[in-house]
Amino acid sequence: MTAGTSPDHRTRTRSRLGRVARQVLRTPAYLSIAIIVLVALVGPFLVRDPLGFHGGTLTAPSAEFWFGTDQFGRDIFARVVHAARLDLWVGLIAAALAVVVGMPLGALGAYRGGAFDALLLRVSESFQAFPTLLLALGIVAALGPSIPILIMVIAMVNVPVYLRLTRSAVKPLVDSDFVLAARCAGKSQATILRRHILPNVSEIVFAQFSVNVAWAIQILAALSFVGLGVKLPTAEWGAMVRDGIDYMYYGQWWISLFPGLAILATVLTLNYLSDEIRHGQRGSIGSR
Amino acid sequence: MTGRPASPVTEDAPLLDIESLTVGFHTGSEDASMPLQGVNLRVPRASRMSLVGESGSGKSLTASAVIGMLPEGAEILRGSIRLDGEELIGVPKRRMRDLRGRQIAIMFQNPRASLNPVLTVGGQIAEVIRTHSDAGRRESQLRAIDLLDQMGVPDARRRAGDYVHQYSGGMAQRAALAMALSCQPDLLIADEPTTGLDATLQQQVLELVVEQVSDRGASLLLITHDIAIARQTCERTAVMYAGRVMESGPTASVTSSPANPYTTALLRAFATVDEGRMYAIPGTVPTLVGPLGECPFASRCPEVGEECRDGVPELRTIADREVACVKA
Amino acid sequence: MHLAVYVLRRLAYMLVALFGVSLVAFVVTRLLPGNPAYMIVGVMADESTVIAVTERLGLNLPIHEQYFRYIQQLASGDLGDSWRTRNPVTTDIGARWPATIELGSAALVLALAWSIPLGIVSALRRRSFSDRLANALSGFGVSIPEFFLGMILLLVFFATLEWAPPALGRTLGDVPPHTTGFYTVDAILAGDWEAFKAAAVQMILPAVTLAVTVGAPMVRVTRGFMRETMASHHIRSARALGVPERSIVLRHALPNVLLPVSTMGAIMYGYLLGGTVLVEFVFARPGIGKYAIDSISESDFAPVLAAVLLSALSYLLVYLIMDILHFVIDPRTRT
Repeated sequence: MTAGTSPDHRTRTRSRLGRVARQVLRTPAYLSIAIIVLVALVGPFLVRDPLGFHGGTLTAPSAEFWFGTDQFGRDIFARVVHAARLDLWVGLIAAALAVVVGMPLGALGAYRGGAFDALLLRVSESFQAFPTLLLALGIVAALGPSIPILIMVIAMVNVPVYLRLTRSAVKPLVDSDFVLAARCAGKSQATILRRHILPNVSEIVFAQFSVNVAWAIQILAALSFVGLGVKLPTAEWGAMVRDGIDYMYYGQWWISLFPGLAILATVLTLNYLSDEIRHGQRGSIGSR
Repeated sequence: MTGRPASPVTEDAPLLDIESLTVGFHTGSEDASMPLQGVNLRVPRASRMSLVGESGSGKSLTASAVIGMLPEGAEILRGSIRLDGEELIGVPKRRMRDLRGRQIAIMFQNPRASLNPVLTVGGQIAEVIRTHSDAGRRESQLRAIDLLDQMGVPDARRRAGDYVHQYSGGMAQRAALAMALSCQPDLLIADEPTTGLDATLQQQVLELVVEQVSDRGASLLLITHDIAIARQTCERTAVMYAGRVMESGPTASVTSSPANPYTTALLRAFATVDEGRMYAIPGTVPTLVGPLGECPFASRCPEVGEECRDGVPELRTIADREVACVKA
Repeated sequence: MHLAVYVLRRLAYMLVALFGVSLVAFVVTRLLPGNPAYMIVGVMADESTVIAVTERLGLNLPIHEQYFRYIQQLASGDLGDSWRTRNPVTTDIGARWPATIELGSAALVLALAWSIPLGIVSALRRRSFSDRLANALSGFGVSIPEFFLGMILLLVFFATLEWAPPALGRTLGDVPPHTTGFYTVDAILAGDWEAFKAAAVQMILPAVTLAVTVGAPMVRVTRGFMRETMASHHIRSARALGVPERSIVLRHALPNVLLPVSTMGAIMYGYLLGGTVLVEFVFARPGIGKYAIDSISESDFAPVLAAVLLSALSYLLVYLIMDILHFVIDPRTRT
């Protein structure tokens, strides 16, 4: 309540907040990502110890153990919830690292052109020919499966995505009039890249980010699934699916099923979120 | 002549008769736009008519409505389009497809883009011929080559087997014209056919279009933003503004003694461009949301009076032309 | 551009890419824990034997010399030996690659069969049932981990419905006489219907798994290109001249869509031929992927390197072949 204009301003802010809230509730992708993040943040405080023995091995899902227990009597529900935090963290950090490395490199390549650009392109093409999973597996096997190593490896295989994406988005901008104008105004290369070019591609990168978090989670799960990811007995979705593989077809399907569904739900949500972001961007561009 | 309506088609009835054509976009929200607000236009047989206006005036949309290919979301709200006496609005899809190419043909701007990049130019023309006649593969191919030759494509036999990327801009436009005229349509609609061509080529293509259309006894509806082109090619001109026809009549009299202040303004804008000065019509085009309550040009018109605000002026016949202005 | 020049240039790029891949893979495998000499001779062997083996393998040399030796070996067609299987790697791969190719080919055919028609039909009718189906299936296929989908299929079709056999390798019947190495093809050649059935039935679930995950992005790509093409000027132009819808879709639009989509298909096939680690793992199929993962977890250098190179090579090769085909087929590249 500062000035005479504030009530008007306040209602506008409130209605905008309301619109955002309604938008979130109406869009399944936003709603479910909100739920997943909430589970990852708060969930671990509310469930049982993910490593503890809670009586009864291989018990089927029940009112007490919603997702059943595994061969060590651990509560699968508690493990799925705890793993949510780990998987999301690794996915987020790995994808963010990939952006931080790939985006400037791609932009610089497109901006500078020449031998540097050609070299970047060749390297990222070689990467494309690389069997991603084998590469990740090899490095993890060589350096040892710790969380930081896993994050680095997953980030590394994601870098070429951003490199190419940024490069192809920046390329047409480099010759555009507004960049030319900035150049004529004597602005430095770094300023032009930071102030004039990157803001224009950040929207595209942002939509891609969600996809890459999803991909990072998939790679992490795959690495753990073949036994070269997260160390036992840490709760991680892929490792948990692996834990249950010997029981899956012989009656105790719940050990693998629930963590697997957790991966599916999270990745699906992140992919749809990206579609949603892209739609939103197109909408805002259209109405501009 | 089976399947045609029984209405008597007399010799002096127009080939294309558009009456009060109104097109709206249903965008989902209440402020749906209405880009065509009752277009009235008649194209006589064996004549050349140009439709002139600024971009956004609705000229291309009018053409799309005639061939029954409105963009997604657009809908004809009112009016009628009669071709050779036959009502085209609501005509079955099959019949419409049959009419396209055989009675009405259209050529769009950017001829390169309007030919398929992965099919040979000759093959595409031949396919249109086969669609509308019982010509076989070989015969249609020969006719396609013949058409390309008539349009002045050198070495037509060989060029028919080429792809559009191998054609120059002018040649591609000739090929597009050959395709449009391949089935002897009564009406050719040319939507900005020379945009993107240089002045010499533009001249050649326009002359070719006029010559070919006249030779076939067909009519031409030329859509352009350039009054100079209209003057060169068409004996009649209609001027469109804000989704309506403001004035139409013989090109010479419309362009020399315009009866609608909008036509005057448009001519002035063009004349000053030629002299190296710029004249811009003051104000902006009204947003076409719902029907207007006044003359669409009222807010920009130098001669505006009280009576202009009373309603949308209808097209009235005055001497040799039709004018939509209460002051005329 | 002349085809020969084009092919040569592409081959040169390919060699550069392969060189890069081999270099990275070599360094990574040399970092794997454990001295392979011990693994070959056993931990109980005496010092001098270990040293002898280390020297024979060149493991005492600096890494760049080791790499140089490896490239020389490679040039003479020698991929080294696996200490785990005690076979030359070429022999091991010769025995396993057919399993991968067989599965990959079946999966590709299945993937193309569902994804391209669905992509095209859904592009033609926005917001229709097929459009929604395409959305749901492609979203699902992109998001589900391969290994989990395989396990679900086994749970449903093997454990519950008992329609499928257990996931135990390439066949539970007789191994047909070796001609091509593809069990299904060999069985047909030998006229052995039972052997064919036994081999084919082992391939259905893994092939479906891969067809879903590989087909899902193809649905999206196909739909995207089809939409773009249908909105293009030349389609509008053909419509405006009365060309019937059937011909618009099949003759005018389809070739424009299939050209880029086939590139995507080639990329996918390259990926499948390189060995699909997870699916081969879940279904216990002895292919290249399984070979690689088994070797990685036991620090068996040579097979890992070979699998990586093979994977990269098949990707690059299929891509190159597709590019050359395009060069020949696509009129736009002709001048």
